[in-house]
This record gives sequence, C-alpha cells and structure tokens, in this order.
Amino acid sequence: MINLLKVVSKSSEVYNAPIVNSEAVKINMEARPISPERAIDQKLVEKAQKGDKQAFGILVEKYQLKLNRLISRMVRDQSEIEDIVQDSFIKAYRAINNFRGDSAFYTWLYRIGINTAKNHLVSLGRRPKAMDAVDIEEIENFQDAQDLRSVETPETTMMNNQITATVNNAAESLPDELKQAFKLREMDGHSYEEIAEMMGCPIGTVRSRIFRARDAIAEKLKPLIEETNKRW
Amino acid sequence: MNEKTSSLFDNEIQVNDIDSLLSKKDRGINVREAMQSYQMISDAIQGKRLSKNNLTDKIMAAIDKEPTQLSGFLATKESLRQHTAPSEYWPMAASFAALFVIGLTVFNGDSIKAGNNPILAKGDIPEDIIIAHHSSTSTNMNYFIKTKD
Repeated sequence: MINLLKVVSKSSEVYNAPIVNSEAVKINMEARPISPERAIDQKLVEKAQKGDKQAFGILVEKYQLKLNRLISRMVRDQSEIEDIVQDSFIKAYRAINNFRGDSAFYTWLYRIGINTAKNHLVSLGRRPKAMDAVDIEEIENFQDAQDLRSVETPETTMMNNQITATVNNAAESLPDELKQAFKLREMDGHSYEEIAEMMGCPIGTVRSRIFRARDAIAEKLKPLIEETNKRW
Repeated sequence: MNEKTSSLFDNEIQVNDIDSLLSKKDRGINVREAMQSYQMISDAIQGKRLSKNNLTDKIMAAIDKEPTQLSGFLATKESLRQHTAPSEYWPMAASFAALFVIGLTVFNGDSIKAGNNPILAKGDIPEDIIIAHHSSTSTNMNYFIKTKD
C-alpha cells in the first residue's frame, strides 16, 4: 500500500512538474546534498582506497546481509549464495580504486553482486532469473527483504525465539529514557535529530542513551550468543 | 568507542569520527563484532528472522589474502590520459622555439657583420697554408674552424 502511494505520488510529481531548462535541472542535481549514509560509506571507501582493510571490513559488515538477501532472489542454494556474496566483495575490493562515488557504494556493490550471480548461473548452464527487472531504483530501495533462504530446523527456530524473547525482555527492563530513545530509533526508525526534538534533549544525549540501551541488551544477550555460536 | 560504533550502525556518526574509530590496528574487528551484536538486537526487536549467515569473518579472511589496494600507486586512466595527451600549450611552445631559432640565426649574422668576422684571422696566417687548407676542406665552415686555430 505504501509503495503504491509512493508511485502515485511520484506520478503526480511528474505530471505536475513545471517545464524548466535542462541546465537549471543539472545545477539543482549537483547541489543536492548526499545522504549521511552515503557520506559515511564514501569516507570508508576512501580509507579502503588508501589501504585500510579495516574500513573495507566495516563496509562488508554493513552490506553482507543485504547482499545475501538480494542474491537469494536469484539463487536458491544457500552455500552458492554465500560463495557469490564472498566473490562479490572480493571483486569490489579489487576494483575499489575504480569507485569514484558517482553512485552510492551499495548501488555499485549490488551491481557487482547481480553480475556475479548471473555469471555463476550461466557457468552452471542455468538460465539467470530475469533480474534485468531489478532496476537501479529497486536496488537503491532494496531493504531487508524477508526472503533470506536458510534451512530452518527446530533447534534454530528455538534459538531464534530465545534470542527474540531475551532482547524484548531486556528492552522492557531498561530505564524509561533509554527505552524510549532506543524504541524511537529501532522500531519507528527516527533519526537522532528527530528523537532529540521529541525527547527535548541534545543529540549527544540521544546518541548516549541509544548506545547505553544497546550495551545493556547486548550484555544480557552475550551468554545466549555464545551458546548460539556453539550450536549454529 | 562503542558509542561511535552505535552511531556508525545507525549511520549517524560524524564523518570525521570514523578516523578515530579505526585509528588503532585491529580495532576494526571490535567494531565489526559490536555491529553484529547490534544487528541481531535490531532484527530481534523488529521481529525479523535472525540470520546465522554472518559471512564477514570469512570474507575478511579472503580479503586479507588479497594485496592491499593503494590508489596512490596505481595510475588511473584519467591520470594516464592527462600525462600522455598533447598539451594545449604545445603549439604555442613550438612557435616560441621557432622564433628563438630564427632570432638566434639573425643575431649571429649581425654579429659577424659587426666585427667578429672570421676572415680577419686570415691576415695572421701565411698564404700557402690557407691554400693548402682550401684543398683539404669541403666547406667554408670547416675552413673557418680550422684556420681560426
């Protein structure tokens, strides 16, 4: 429903758009500020280009799960998906000096991932799923789709439930100001600035409260994660 | 440090803070571990299915085997193009060079006329030697050089 509304909204913008000269549009496009996420990624890329592998590791951590979920739309076998994701990141690392920031890092990475998946399927004599339909806008808007393929066993389901229950209980037992800041961020997706306005406190305080909430929950989760790592 | 990691996870970190976050060797591993933990908490609180498929360590082990990519040591296509493409100033430089050569030639001609005339040296040399040199030299220039000494 939300997507439909977005489409309608976009269409109306197109139909109502005033006729302007292309030069003015170009200037406007150039002046458009980049998102904080893109600025952070760009900084990490620049550090990686200077030889900082740790910076590239942060990019891997940020996007490996999303890329995994994207590739799972083309390939069914989880071990094949993991190989493709790994190959994609290695290709991205080898080509990192060619990345000039013309697009967002994840757009560039996802293109590499889709091409790697296509080549993988062709090499196996399989016809790639029609991923041409995955245009650039869809890639950029691709979020955490829930179609990650993994073999669910009764044990993993039980562990999932235990972790979810522990996190929820830990969140509920947080002091009110931590709980409120944490939930506004995690459940409602508000920015730090918006949360600061809502809670009437400085952004630095929001930053601190969210961190302390996460730290408290992670502390309670630690024994369970260690147990999970043994079982998974 | 973890407050910055938490901000990084939310894409709310100040870009300048990234340098200090990764300033020490192996700190990236701690940052990644914290981010994995935050991701699990985030997925759980949002009711998403948790993933055991964290490939980061495996991927980074493969990346560590790769040679370090240093942009400063690689000649990009753009820099190569800049170094090999003919400069727009070349025609102008060639014109100046041509003018310089012509000017030098004219100046030398004038100086010969003005008094540094090699023929003047002839007066100090016996006539028979000059005649002998005439027969053994092929050009006037050779004649001039040899007779001057």
